[in-house]
Parts: sequence; structure tokens; C-alpha cells
Amino acid sequence: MIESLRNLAKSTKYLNLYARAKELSGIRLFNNESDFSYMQTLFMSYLETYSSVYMDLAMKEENISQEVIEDDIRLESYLLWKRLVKDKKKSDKSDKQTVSENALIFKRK
Amino acid sequence: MDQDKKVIATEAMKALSEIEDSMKTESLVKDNKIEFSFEDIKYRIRKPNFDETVEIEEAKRKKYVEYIKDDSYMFRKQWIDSYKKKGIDVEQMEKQATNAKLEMEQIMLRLATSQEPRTIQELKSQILKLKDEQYSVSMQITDLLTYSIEDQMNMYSTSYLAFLVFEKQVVDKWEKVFTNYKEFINSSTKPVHMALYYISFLMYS
Repeated sequence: MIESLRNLAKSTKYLNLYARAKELSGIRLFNNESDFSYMQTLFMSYLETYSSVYMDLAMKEENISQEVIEDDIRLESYLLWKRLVKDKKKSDKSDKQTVSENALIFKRK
Repeated sequence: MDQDKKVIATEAMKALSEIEDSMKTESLVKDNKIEFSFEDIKYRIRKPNFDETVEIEEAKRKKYVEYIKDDSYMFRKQWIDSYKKKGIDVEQMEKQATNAKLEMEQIMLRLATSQEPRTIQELKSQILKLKDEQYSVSMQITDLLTYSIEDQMNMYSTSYLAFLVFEKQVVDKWEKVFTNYKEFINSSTKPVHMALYYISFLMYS
């Protein structure tokens, strides 16, 4: 069942619907607008995942290709690498800013 | 020529089966209720409303007290201790499953950055082997602890929930199939089995 759900989430039909649903408020993926079932929540997370990896593919990010997307094990590996290695590198980059003492409003006496 | 026909027929069957599979999956996600038919009767299961959620919690609380009072029921920890005395180390098995998962993640990180086809195949097969090992150990642990109070409570709450939200269509209305839990649990009809199967698609366990 999980495999069927993944196949449905990576289908052109649902990826397009998902993209349009994000842009246009009138388009709904489900009959219900709230109180989502477990399957619906899981399906949405798969849609988000596939939408994100296709975006990575379009942006020519490293280690992603159509071949990887179509292979569940390779895709899981890519997502793990992205989470642990790639995204960690981005957050490690120092964005520290030091504020000079002159800029402080309440200076130490 | 006959061989070509066979190949085309097989491919066509495979495509039809995929379409059917896709339609079935779609029907399970399009709504937060799941409908199915059996012998010309339409059934459904749905998410519980607030009152039903309160009723489930009360039923669970009463069942929990029953289990606590009955000495033949043990908690997970007690089962694990009992098994240890008989030479079965469940904690070690859990560690084995965790280690398999950690090893698998390391190989997955290598697979993510591999480009060489032979390396990719080799790493994939190592991952599948570790997945099998992890799954097999997890199933063994599940089997060993299935009679624990925690697991029994899970089964009870799932079945009680299924009883509460299991409905059949009578003319234009939806009515509860069973009037009480005992009736539901004593029934071993196909619709009941289907309701118990589908409930896991609606609710987080």
C-alpha cells in the first residue's frame, strides 16, 4: 500500500495538482478540508518530498537525477544525505554578526 | 508471432493492474472516510467525532484497569525480564535492529554520492540485506511481546475504534453496523475484517 501511495504521489497528475493547489485556493486535493486521515497526511508528505526533489533536479543540484527519483532506495539515500550532509553544511556556514560596543544602546559603565 | 502476442498480453495485463491499483489507492486518500461494498451492502469507516473519542478513552481506561488487576497480564518490561531468565535477550535484539539501521544509514550516505553502476548495485543489495535483517528482528520482537499489556491495549483501542466508526448504508442514511462492542468482536464476517484492515489507514497508531 505504501508503494502504491508513493507511485500516486510521484505521478504527473498529482504533482501538477499539488503545484496548482499551492498556488490557487480553489483547487483541493481531497474531499475534506480538515481532519485529515493518516493516509492523507502521509500522501501529502510524499507529494511534498517528490515536489522538492523535482525542484532539486530542475535546479541541477548535486547527486539527484531522474534515475535516482525512480529508484526508491536511491531516493531515500539522497534524502538522507540531503538532510544530514547538505542541509547541515548550509546551517553550519557562519552567519554570525558581531555588534560593536558603540552600537549598543545600553552601554556598560 | 504467438510469442509477441503473449508478451503484449502480459504487458497489457500489467498496465491494467497498475491502473486498478492506482484507482484503489486514490479512493483511499480522496476522503477521510473509506467506503467498501460487500454482498451489495455499502459499508464505511470514518474518523471518530469528539464524543466517540471520549468514549474510546473511557473504554481504554476501564480495560487498562482490568489488565492491571489480572496477574496473568504483564507489562512489556516484565515480559522482557521473563524472557531473559529463559535465555532470550529482547534488549539485545532491539540493539541488533538499531545497529542494522545505523549501518544501513552509513551505506545509504555512500550510495547517495555514488555514480559507478556496479558500486550502486552492490550498496543497494547491502541495504536490502540490512533492511531484511532489521525487519526480521523487529517482527521477532513484536511476536515475543504481543501479549504485553501495551500491545493488548493497542489492539483493544483499534478494535473498539473500528466498532464505533463502522457504518452501513441503509437507504440514504449511514447507520452503525453493531450496537455494542461484544457483538462486533464476536462477529468474524468479511466486512468486519475489512473494517479492521482499513482503520489503520485512517488513524495514526
